[in-house]
Amino acid sequence: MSTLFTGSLSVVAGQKSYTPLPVSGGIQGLGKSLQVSIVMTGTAFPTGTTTLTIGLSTDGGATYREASGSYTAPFPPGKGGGVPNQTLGFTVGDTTTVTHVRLSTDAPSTFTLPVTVTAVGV
Amino acid sequence: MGIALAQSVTGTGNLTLNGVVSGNTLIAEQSSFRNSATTTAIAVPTDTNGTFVGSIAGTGALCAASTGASIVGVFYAVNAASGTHTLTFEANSSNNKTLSEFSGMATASVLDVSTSSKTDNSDITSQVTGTTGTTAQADELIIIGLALATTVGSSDVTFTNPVSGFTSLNVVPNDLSDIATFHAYKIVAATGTQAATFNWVVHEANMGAHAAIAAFKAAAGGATQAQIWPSIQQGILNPMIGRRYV
Repeated sequence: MSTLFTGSLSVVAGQKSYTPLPVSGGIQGLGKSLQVSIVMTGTAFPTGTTTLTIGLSTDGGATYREASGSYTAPFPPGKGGGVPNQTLGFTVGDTTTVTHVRLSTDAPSTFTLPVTVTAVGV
Repeated sequence: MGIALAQSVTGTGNLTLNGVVSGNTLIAEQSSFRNSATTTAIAVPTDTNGTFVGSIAGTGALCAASTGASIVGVFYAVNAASGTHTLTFEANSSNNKTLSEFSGMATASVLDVSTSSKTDNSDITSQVTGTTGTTAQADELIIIGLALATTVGSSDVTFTNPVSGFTSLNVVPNDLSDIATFHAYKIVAATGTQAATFNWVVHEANMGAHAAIAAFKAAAGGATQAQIWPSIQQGILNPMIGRRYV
């Protein structure tokens, strides 16, 4: 598993797309699909529903296939009583090499979202 | 054309897949921890562009000395409409979900056989799915899922990953602050009963595990490469058979 990005997204109210992350060769592996996963700190989300979208490009960032998760905060206590971290992952079945990963958000208000983005061939 | 995974999205929130191809089958799995002894089946998720139905019977497992429950659900939508599908899942204390699109599937009566199995409040390092009845046809998609929880837990129960013969879709090894989760699939080319076993290393008393397995039919004529190859070889070696294709 390779880490594509660790840091914080400066999320704004409404829709925003972030600078695409290049995927270096060798992560996906010959004949495998690329599985991209994001872990987000649950306490960072503002009240309301935030949607996060992962886009995968196989043409140098010209076009993206996308999947989304929506997260409605405040979250109820998870197992153990704390606020659970939130996750999103996306895999496309074909084995064409993914060149870029793009994240997008649609949030109710501005906030800072710590994230870790990883990728692995599966 | 045989069965193939088109795309899959995983996460803790409600999930959206775009660009779904008309006629494909959508499979949803949900592993949940309930902070109560409620083991009733997870509610069927709603879809903005279709209808899902449940594919397994049975109830979840009691854990944490019966103060909690771990439960897995497997759902499907046959002959999906094209476009965007957004699923809203049952809310629980902890949830991990997977929404996958498969091509090459039957467009009616796609669910063949299924079963589930559970272990309540025990110190365990494995959980079987149970064994299905014999599948009706050779080409089928096998989906498995696990929900595992306990009183305290570990950030990494150290699953055996992958489950033998399967491709993992969503693996969350944390039963400390989450519901430990394993969602996977495989494509088979012969009839028979189906079963799988999930294994992990870290264990303690009062673990509850619920596992499920479901088999879904391929479209008629959806022979896999493994099935086609012997026929081609036979045609090459037997000129009487080969002549039919000239």
